[in-house]
Amino acid sequence: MLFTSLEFLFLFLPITVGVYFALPFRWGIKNYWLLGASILFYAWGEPSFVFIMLASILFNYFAALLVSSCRNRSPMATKFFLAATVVGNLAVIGLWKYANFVTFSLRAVFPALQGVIPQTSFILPIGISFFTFQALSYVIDVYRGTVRVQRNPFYLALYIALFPQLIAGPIVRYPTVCSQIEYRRVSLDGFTSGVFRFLLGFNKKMLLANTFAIVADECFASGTQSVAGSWLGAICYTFQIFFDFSGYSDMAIGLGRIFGFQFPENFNYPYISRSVTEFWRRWHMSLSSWFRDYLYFPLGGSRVDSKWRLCFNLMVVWFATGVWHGANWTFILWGTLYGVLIIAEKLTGLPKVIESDRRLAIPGWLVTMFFVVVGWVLFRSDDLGAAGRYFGAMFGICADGLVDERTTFCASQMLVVLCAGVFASLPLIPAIKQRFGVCATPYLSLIWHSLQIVLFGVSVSYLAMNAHNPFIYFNF
Amino acid sequence: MTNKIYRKTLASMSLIWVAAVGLFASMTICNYATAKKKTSRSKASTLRSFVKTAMLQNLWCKEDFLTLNGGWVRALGQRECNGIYRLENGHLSDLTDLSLNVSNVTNTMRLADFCGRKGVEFVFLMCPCKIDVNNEILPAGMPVDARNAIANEFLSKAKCRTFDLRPIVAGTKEEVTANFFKTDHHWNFTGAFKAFPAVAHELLNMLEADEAVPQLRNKSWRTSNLGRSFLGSRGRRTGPLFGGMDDNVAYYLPKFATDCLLSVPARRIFRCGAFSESFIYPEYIRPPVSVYKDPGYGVYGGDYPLVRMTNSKAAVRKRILVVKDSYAPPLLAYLSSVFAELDIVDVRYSKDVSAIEFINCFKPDLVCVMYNPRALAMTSMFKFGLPETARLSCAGKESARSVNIPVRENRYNYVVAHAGLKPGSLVKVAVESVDVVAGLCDMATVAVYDTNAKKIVKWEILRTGAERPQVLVMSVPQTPGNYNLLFYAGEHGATEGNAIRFNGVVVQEFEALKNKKENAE
Repeated sequence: MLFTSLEFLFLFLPITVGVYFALPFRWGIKNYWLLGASILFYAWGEPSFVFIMLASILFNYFAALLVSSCRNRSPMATKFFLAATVVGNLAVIGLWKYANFVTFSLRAVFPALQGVIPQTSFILPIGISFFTFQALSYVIDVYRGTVRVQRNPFYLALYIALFPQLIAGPIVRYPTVCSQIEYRRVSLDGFTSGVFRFLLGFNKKMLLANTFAIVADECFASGTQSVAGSWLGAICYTFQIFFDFSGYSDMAIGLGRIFGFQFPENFNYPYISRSVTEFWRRWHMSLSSWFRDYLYFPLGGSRVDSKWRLCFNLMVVWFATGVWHGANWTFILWGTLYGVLIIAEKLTGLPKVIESDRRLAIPGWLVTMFFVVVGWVLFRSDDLGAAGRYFGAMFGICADGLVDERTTFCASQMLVVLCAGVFASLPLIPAIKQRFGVCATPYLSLIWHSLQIVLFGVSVSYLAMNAHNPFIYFNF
Repeated sequence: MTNKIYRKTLASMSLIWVAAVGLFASMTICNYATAKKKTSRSKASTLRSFVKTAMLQNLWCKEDFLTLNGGWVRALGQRECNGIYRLENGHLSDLTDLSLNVSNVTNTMRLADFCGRKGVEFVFLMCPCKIDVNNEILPAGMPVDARNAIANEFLSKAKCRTFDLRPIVAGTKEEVTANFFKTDHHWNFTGAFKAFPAVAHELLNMLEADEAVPQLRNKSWRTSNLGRSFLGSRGRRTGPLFGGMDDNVAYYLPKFATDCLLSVPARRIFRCGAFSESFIYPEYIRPPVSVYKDPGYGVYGGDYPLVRMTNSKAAVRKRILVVKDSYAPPLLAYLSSVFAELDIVDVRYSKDVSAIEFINCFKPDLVCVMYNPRALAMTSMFKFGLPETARLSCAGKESARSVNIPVRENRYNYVVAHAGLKPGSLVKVAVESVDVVAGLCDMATVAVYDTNAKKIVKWEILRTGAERPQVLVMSVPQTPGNYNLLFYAGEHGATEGNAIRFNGVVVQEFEALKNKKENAE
C-alpha cells in the first residue's frame, strides 16, 4: 500500500490509528494490532510476498535464538550460526533480487551457457532489501551482545514488519526500537510532531517529487535530447529522488512518532554538501551507517596498515552499496563511481581542507553536485547504453542542439517548482531559528505548520485526480 | 507567545487535521454506501483495485479537490493539468500522439463501394478538431498533436468522396477560438452553424437538388442563450480555476416554420412539433446540479445508437443516413431544416444492428460518415458491419395493414404481429400511426418474444396519439429459439382496459447471412 493513496489516507490510517489509541497498552495488545495492520499493509501490494517476509522473520528469529544460546558456550558454533544466518539472508535477497540479473548476464557473456542456464524471472518482493537488512542487523547485534535476544516472535515481527518503515526505510536498528516495542510513551507532543512530519513528507512527495518526475521521466524516455534538455532532465531527477525518498522517510518517521516510536533520521540536507564524503554523511544515513557498522568496520575500516587495504575496504563497501540498490550494471557502476570519489577524497584529505577554508565552499559544492547529478543519471538510466547516450547528450557529443523549444517550454513550466525545490533543499528552518532566535520561531512555526495543512489539501487533490505516484525506493 | 500556548495551538491543529481525515474517511464511506451506482466488484480484478476505484469514485468533495488542483496548477504557471493543456488562446484541449489506422481507410472505401453498388451517394465529412490546421494554437515546445496529420493522411489515402470542414471552421487560431468551446473538445454551436451551409451545399450538390434553399441564410435563424456558464468535458478534468468556463453559450433556432419529429428508441424519446419542441433537449437546457455535471453540449442531443429526425417542412425531400461521432448533433439538427429525414447511427453504441443493416432498412438517398480526426485512429468507429456479416436479404415485403388489440382485462394484452422470426435476423417495424381506442396510455410496446424460454428478449416502444410514422429496428438474438413479434396494448405489464389500433403496419425481416467473417476489420 502506498502512503500516497486514498485507501491508505482515508481508510487504513484512520482505522489503524483510531483502533490503536482505543486499545489498552496492557498485554502488548497495541503491538499485536500494529503487527496485524503492518501485515495487511504489506499484503495489500502482493499477498503472496507476505510469506517471504514472514519466512524471513521466522528464520532470523530462530537464528538469533541459536546465536544467543551458543554465544557464551561455544564461539565456534556461534560463528557458524551467524555465518549461516548471513548466508541465508543473502541467499534470500540474492535469489529474489539478483537471480534474474545474474542469469541474464551469464547468458549474455557466455552464449554457450544459454542451453544450460535458464533465464529466471523472479518478481522482486517489495522492500526486500530493507527488511532483510533489518533482520540481518538484528542477528549480528545479538551476536555482538549489543542487544538481548527477543524471545517473543511477534515483537521481532513487529520490529521487522512495522509498516511505516517496512517498504522503504529508514533502516531501523533493533537497539533503537527494542525498548520502544516493549514500552513506549505516546504523548500529545509526540503525536503532533508525528502528524506534521507526516504532512511534510506527504507534501514533498506529492507536490515536488511527482512534479519533477514528469520532466525527468520525459527527458530520460526521450531518444534525442538537446544539451540543455538533458541537463534539465538530470537536475529534475536529482530533485525528484531527493524529495521522493526524503518525503517517504519523513512520512515513516512521522507515522512512527504517531505510534510512539522514534526512528532515526535519514536525510540531513544532502544537497548542501561540499564534498562527496559529506554528501554520504547526509544522504540515506541509515544505509550508510549500516554498511559502516556491519561491513566497513568488520573489514577493518580506516584503521588498517596500508592504503591499498583502505582502498579495498572502501571499494567493497561502495560496490555493495551499488549492488544493494539494484541488480543492474548501472547501479554497480554508480556505486563504484562513489567508491572511487571517496577513495580520492580520503587519500587527498580534500573534505577537511574544504571544511576549513570557506573560500573553497562554493567550488567544493559545485564539484560535488556535478558528480551527484552525473551519478543520478547513471542511477536513473535503464542500462549502460542508455546512460552513455544520455551522457553524450549532456556533454554535447551526440546532442540535438544546445537548446530546443521543448526544453524552454519545460523549463518555463517548472520554474516555480524548481525554485521551491531549491528552497526546500536548503536548511532554511534551522537558519531562521539561528537568525531570529527562539522568540520568533513559534509564530513562524505556526505559519509553517498551517501551510503544511493547506498544502496537504492540494496534495490530496492530486490523489483525487488519480495521479500515479509510486516511490522510487520501493524498487530496492 | 508562551511555549505552552504554542504547543497547545500546534496540538489543536494536528487534532483538527486528524478529525478532518476522519471526516473525509467517514463521508467517503457514506458516499459509497448511498451511491446509486455502486462500484462494480466484478470489474475489479482484485480487492485492492476495487477499493481503489470505490474510494476514487466516492471521494467526498471530489469536485472541490479538482477545482483546487486546477487552481494550484494554474498558480504554478503550468499549462498541463491532468493530461489537459491550456493552448495559446486559453482553450483547453488534450493532445494526442495517435496514428492513423489504415484499416479504417479501407473500411470507409468499402462502405463507399457498398453504397455505390446500391445506388446510394456517399461522402465522408471530416469534422475539425480543436487544433487549427497549421498547429499555430500550440505554444512552442508543447507536445505535438497528431490529429491534423492523421486527418491529412486519411484524406490523401481515402479514394472516395470526402469533404473537409477543417479549413472552414478551424483554419486559423482565431477561428478555433470563435468556433470551439473553451473547456470542451467539441465545436460550439456557432462552429457547427458555420459548417452547416457548407455541408448542406455539398449534400445538395451530391443529390442534385436545388441549392438555393432559404433555410441556409443566416437571417433565417435566431440565437438563444444557454443562460449559464458551461464547463465542458476538458474543463471537468481540470476544474474551472485552471481554464475558466464557457460564457454566453449561444445556440441556434430557426425563424421559419418547421414540423419535426425526433425519435430516440434507446432513450424512449419521441417528440414532435416545432424545431425547438422536438430537437432541443429540455433536460440539457436546465441548469445542472453542479458545474461538473453540465450537459450543456447536449442541447441538440447526445450519442445514441439510433436517432431519427424528420421535418415535413424541410426544403428537400431526401433521406440521409449519417454515421457519426459526438461532433454531429448540432450540425444534424441544423441540417434537418433542409433535408426531410435524417437517420443517425452511432456505431459505438449500436451493438445489435450495424450501419450496413440500417442502410438496408432505411434505404437512404445518401450516406454520410461524419467523424473528427481522433476517430480515425479508432477501429471501433469503423465497424460498419460490411457485407460479409450484414443481414442483407429481405425475406419478403409485406404490404401495409392494420393491427387491432381489443380490450382485455389482462396485464399482458397483446397480439402476435409476426410469427416465426429467425434467430439472428433483423426486424424493421414501420407504423403510420398508433391510436388509442379505449383506455389511457401514451405508449405501446413492441417486443420480440421467445416462446420456448417464455420471455421477452428485446423491446421498444411506440408513441400513441402521434399522427406520425414511426420506425423501429430490432435484432433477434442469435441463440436458437422460437421468436415472435408481439404488439402490446400499452406498457408491457400494464395493459388492462386498453385497446389500441396500429395503422399502416409494415414488418420486414432481414435474414442473417452466416459463416462469413468481417475480414477487413
